[in-house]
Amino acid sequence: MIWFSVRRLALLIVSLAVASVVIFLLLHLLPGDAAQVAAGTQASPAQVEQARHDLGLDKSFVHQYASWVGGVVHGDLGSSVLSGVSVSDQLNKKLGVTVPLVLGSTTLSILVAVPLGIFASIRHRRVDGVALSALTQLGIALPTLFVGLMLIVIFGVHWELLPTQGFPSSGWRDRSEAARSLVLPVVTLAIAQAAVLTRFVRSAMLDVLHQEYIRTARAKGLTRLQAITRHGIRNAALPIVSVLGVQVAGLLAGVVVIERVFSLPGIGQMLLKDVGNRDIVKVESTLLVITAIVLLIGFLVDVALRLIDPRLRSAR
Amino acid sequence: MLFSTVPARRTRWKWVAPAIAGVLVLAACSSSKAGINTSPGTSGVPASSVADTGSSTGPDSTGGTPATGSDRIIRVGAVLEPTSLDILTTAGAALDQALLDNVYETLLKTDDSGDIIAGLADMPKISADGLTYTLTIKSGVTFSDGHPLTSADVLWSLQQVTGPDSKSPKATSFKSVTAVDATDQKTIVITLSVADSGVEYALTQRGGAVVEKDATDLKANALGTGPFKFKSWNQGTSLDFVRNDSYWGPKPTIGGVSFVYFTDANALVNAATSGDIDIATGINTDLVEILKSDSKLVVNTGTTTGKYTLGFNNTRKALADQRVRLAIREAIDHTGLIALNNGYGTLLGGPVPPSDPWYEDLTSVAPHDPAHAKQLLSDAGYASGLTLDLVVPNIYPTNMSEFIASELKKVGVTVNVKPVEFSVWLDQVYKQADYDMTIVDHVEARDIANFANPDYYWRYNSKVVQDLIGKAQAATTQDAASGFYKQAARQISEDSPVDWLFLAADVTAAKTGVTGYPLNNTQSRFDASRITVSG
Repeated sequence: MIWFSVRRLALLIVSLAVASVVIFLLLHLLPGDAAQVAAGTQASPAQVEQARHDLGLDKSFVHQYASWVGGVVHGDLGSSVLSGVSVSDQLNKKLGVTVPLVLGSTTLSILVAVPLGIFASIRHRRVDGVALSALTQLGIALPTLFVGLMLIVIFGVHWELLPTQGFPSSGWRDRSEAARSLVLPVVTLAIAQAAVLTRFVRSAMLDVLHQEYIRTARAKGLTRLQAITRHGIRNAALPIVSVLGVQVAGLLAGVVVIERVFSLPGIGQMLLKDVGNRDIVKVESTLLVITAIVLLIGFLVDVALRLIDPRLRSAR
Repeated sequence: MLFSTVPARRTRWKWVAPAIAGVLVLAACSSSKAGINTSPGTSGVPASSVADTGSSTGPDSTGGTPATGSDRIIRVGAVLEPTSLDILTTAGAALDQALLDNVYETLLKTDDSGDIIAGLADMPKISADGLTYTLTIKSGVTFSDGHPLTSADVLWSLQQVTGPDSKSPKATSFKSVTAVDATDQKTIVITLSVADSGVEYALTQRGGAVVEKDATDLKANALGTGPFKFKSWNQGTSLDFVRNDSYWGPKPTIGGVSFVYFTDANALVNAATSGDIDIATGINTDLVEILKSDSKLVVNTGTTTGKYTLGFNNTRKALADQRVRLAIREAIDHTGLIALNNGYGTLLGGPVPPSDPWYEDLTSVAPHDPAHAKQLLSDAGYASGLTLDLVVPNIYPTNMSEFIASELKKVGVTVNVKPVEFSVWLDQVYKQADYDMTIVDHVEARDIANFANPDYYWRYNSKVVQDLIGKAQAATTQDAASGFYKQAARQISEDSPVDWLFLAADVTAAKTGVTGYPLNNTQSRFDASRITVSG
């Protein structure tokens, strides 16, 4: 297990190094001139060239890459070429919105999806099981944009129960206010996530329920519920944990629509704007941090799978 | 261990592994879909009328409990956020909107009718040859940190803009300036190489803003003489100012103002209807009806200097011919275009918006006349048709370019619409002029001189116009300048180097009881100092 972790971590570092090259090249191959964006439409050509020099964009690719990665290795993610604010400060603030949003919706979706999925699998031939299945289809089909707007209309505009826009500028200092502003976005995201997850739990459980060991467990005198809780869930957990890992990773960078709908100053919004502004170093460092988090999630999922399933531990 | 179970026996499990692998693949497919399926939504929302309307205060709950009267923080919702607060080097109207008049003040100002009036300095004494401007700085003005305003601050600020290493986006408006001197504590003398009627106006704009000489960290901070003090900037959320209680002029009656930024037009409107913000600026005209039906809000329509322009590349073979350019102008039903914009906008026939002093109605130069347009195209040798690319920044609603394409189709011009990101547009169109036609909202006031610059992205090169605008700039009186500008504007409209699609309207909504905010957006600035709240 330790050897496995070491190997996986080494792989993670190599992956990050490769990712840094890909990120760097992709951003420098993007059309659009960062110096022109920074200098603005009224700048003279000389001013644009000056901006290019100030941004270091007149240096060679290798030099630019080395100075960026060199900084990152020493823990310096650089600073925004436009606002001069350090990237790590900005990231901390934005992750303080996006991470609670993603974790909140994931937790909520697990709490909803696991019982529902088990229920749907046990009753998959009954009317209520089929209805639940259809409902999850609907949950997947509804665009989060639409769900978000509906929730805003109902809870924000009509009943005026919850804030619909933005995040307190004081951040998490006012915890209840910050939490309140995340309620609707979390619910919106959780609906889509739970719908997907319910289907996975259902199919994983269906798979497991027809296994011989469940029949054997029943034959040994366990009740159906006992058989499911003692033998079923643990086996069904494998695909579900994998799905969760992919979901969380996808959400980190993919919540931009929700952030837009609810005007949350999260990482997706920031990235979208920075790409438009060609704030290159900031985009590079942000993408690298997201990549690192995603790789780390992959690592944790692998470790979790091995903890759950002894067979994987012995597999090479 | 997550679950306590009886250890499974290996033999029974052999065939489960492929099944799990299958599920994993499935899982990967559909969950990646779940993560991404949201993104089409972003492009589905019209990106609103670009440029720089509004600033607004939004959802952030700054000062705790919003009270009435003098403690109330007014929240203004806006769609464009500055990228940096550095007034000396950062381009863009978003910065002007929030900071000018609120935190920073300019040496001269314009009044509601567009006339130039005194600001931090009295009206300049101009020498008879028009080459020397003497400015006297007002007494009793202090920066919000208590430091008194002196000519040293003014000198330093002007040098940042006019100096050889200037990074100011306004550097070109001061190109005639050869020297700036402080002759005593209160007097600044500006010396020009040639008479330049534009200098006074330039001093009312960004280039005339006064920054404290020893100010530090200008990118993330702001310290000026204005009625509000900079409090904080939460990038991506809000820019917060509080009342400057030591302000030298009439103090605001509100406790402060927060500009709250919304990247999504719907989100801005939601914030207005749910009461999260007091004033919403730069409202997408598609969404105005929602606000009008809300009895708690007052919706205002004002004018702007935003000239939606269909730019032609005047060096492209077909478009080098004035008849082709005029034909395109006459082929487009501009009234229909305004209707498409929900009726918001005004017809504009030339480069000058009505709020500029040298405005003249030029809409009769190229009236809607498809038959004549066809004739012109035929005269120019394009009777059998013509194909042109229309490169459009993706911040503009697509229905505008589609409408233009369908209008031009009627006279035999095939238009390929090519949406691009704004930063790509800056490089490809603005810098390299690699395009046939393009759409941009030119938001600046008094920007007719762009037509005298043959290197500007239209590549329009008219000696007559350059001569007239040169004379206007060299005029020693504003009246004389206006006369030349009017002639130039007519000549430009007749040459048709671009088509003026319409003049944008400024739609603002505010809570009932909130008054005194700017109704027009002709200066790209949102002076919050006169806002009052009743009830």
